[in-house]
Amino acid sequence: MRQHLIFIAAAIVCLSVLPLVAEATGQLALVGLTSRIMIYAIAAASLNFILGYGGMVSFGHAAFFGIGNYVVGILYFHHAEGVPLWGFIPGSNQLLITLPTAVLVAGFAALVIGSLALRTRGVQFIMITLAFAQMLYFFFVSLKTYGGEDGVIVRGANDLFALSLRDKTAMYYVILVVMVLFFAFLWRVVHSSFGTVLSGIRQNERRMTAMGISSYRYKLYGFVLAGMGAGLAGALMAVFMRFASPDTLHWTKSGELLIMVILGGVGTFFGPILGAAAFLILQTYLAAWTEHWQLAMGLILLGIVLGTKGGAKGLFDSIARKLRTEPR
Amino acid sequence: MLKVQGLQAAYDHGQVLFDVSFEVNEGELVTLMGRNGMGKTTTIRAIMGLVPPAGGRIEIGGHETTGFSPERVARLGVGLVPEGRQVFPTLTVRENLVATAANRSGRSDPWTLEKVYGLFPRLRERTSQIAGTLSGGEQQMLAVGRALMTNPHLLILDEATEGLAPVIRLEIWNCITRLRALGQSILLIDKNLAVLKKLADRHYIIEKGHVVWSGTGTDLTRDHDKVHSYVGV
Amino acid sequence: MTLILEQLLNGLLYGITLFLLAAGLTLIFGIMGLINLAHGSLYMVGAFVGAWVASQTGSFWLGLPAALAGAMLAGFAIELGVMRRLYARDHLDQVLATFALILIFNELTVLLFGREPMFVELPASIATPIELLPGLVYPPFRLLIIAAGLGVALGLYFLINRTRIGMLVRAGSTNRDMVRALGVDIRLLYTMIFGLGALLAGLAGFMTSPVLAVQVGMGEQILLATFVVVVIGGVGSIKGAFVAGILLGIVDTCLRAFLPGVLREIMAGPEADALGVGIASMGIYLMMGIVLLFRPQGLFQAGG
Repeated sequence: MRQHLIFIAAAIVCLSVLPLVAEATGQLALVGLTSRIMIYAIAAASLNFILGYGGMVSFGHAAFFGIGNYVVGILYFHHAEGVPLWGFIPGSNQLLITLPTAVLVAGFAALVIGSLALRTRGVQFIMITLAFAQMLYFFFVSLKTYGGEDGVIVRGANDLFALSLRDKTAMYYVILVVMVLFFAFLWRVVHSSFGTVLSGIRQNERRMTAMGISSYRYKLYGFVLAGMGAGLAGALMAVFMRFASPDTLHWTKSGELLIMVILGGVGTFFGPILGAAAFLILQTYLAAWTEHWQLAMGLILLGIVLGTKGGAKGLFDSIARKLRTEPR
Repeated sequence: MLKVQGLQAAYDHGQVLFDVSFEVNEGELVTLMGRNGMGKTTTIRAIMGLVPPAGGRIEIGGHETTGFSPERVARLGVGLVPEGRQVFPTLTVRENLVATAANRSGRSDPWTLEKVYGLFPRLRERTSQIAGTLSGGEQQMLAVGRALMTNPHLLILDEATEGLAPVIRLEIWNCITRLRALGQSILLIDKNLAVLKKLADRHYIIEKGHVVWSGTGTDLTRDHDKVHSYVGV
Repeated sequence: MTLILEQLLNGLLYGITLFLLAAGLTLIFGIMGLINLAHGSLYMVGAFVGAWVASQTGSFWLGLPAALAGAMLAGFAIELGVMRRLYARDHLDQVLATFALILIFNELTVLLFGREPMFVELPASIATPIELLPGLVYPPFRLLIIAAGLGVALGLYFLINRTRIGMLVRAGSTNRDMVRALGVDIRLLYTMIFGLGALLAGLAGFMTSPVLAVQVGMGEQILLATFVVVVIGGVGSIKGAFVAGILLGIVDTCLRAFLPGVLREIMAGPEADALGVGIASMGIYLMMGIVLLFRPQGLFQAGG
């Protein structure tokens, strides 16, 4: 644990000075990339929570990411147009209003979807989460008022009190703070009795039920928490990109989140951060190399899944283990 | 026929078999006894290749089969009647018997549908009935018939009378006696000491993953008290 | 009235397509316990190979065996190269590996055929609509697809319920280990099932290529609906795939055809259209939600 804390502190320091370093070295794109990595780290971590700790393979996590995304977009739209939503809900571009709203709405959606989907398990659960997410995609695309397939432009970003988050550097620091707070909260949850029960359910559901624990309810709570986390990330994304897009709801986004989780190592705490970083960096460089980058991505991914057990982190772990136990 | 030496096996939650050794010779009826959770079914699963052995050696008909896949083991002539019967619930009685039927060693007088129905007339009456709707005893008979239809050299029955009414149990014992009279080699797992004593050639008792006692029926009577301490009831 | 009949026929057409895809998928799920997201890619391969051969040779009918062969080859390649290693793995690994396959197949298709959609020329004899009933004109090709699909359904029914292979398939979908323990080489069975699924997918792809556009990503669009069919019909049940497929096909088609019109009575034009399409798209998912409330395991049991 001591080792961990030192490492975490070092990482936070590095992230804090990154924009300054980037400006000095002229690598301004780095700020944008790191912002996106941090946002996806939150989303991936929320998925990892139900997947790695709770054992629920959800292929529809993008639904909540996208809902968070659209809440910010829709609230901004109504703020910019001056017309309240449904006649009585005023729009807003205040981050302190839009962010919590996004989290709550995403959590509510997770409650509805989860309560239905968690009645099944295994193969069915995966397909159902996928289907519900896609259903939401079609729904949002059909809303012409909010741009349909083109999405909503959040021209003025959001404001944090008086500070306009249109400035990429300011937004970067907001994202950093939110990420640190989120992971601190996640740490508490994972190490709480709730987190232990959830892990227990993943390992041996029958035993848990025999002990009188309602696995359905625990899984549902976990599912809702994860949905809220993804909603948070989606909201941040909308502010950062100044754009709410239906792509955030598409099933391929769910796939990307799953890839990030497995790249970083399913069920590990910091894995999602590594996974998000690995995926986005890989994607950026592959895309710069060839327009057929998806082929390379697919082959790499296939290689990792077939070749290793535990994702990139598992790969690192096994290499580290081999190095440590060198035969004499 | 079947030779098991020093078998070890483990599940995720820990090692279950530490040192199991026994054998079944041609034409014998051998029993494997012990309380629940001592490793009897795990031993069967290891023999059948459903659980990978962590150590030891298994030989069937003189061939080493340690680590073989279930289908290879079955093809060497092992017919399994598993714990819990495990008939195919969505298939009819006839389909259950026919689906996996085989005569791999080219026997001149193999088990056929007719012969199995002769052994279990009640199954003949229900030939088109869906197996999932059969009673426990009928399912047990079906499971035995299904294994017989593969014309095995060795028949393994795991808890073939568990949960059945005494009348049905008697029928199953009678069938097993008949099979033995026909020369079928049989490995039997059960807890019914009294019946097994009369039925079987030799017995083994497994406790916590070890074979702790072995002997014939007369040895059983002689070591009555010790045996009872192992098998409980 | 004729409009309704026409849409019912279209719905039947879509439903048959869904059934062909769902039948393979449900067998693969039910018996092999394998999640295969790349099933849609096999559909796409069938469509592309068939369309390409048809355009190269000028004969539409030559495209059919090409499509079937192409899909089956792709299926065997996937099974040997990837699926075999996934049987023992957990669902997450299967999801990711087959998702990777989708990416690979899509890009390979772009490399081979470009990004432009391909169009398939139908011979005039089956393309020109004929009059079925007074006022109801319908292209004979679509009727052909429906007939072919029903024929396949019948053939599958016969295979599953009247042959020994079918017995093993049904037995394996309820208890794979026991089938192995009785001496059946399950891996051969798996390969055959996977090949059959690929065949059906390729057939579906080719058959609908004149109706829908042949383009990259077509597999994923229909795959999602196929998943819903499998869930509603019951994992592992061919009968379920048939009933649910037809049901969904008809409901989806009718919603898309009639809902915007109904909405236009109460809303402004373009918004009604968009909302109508949106809700119609959600239709099958809502159905799935309702079925899940009352019968989470689906309409039919596995092995049926």
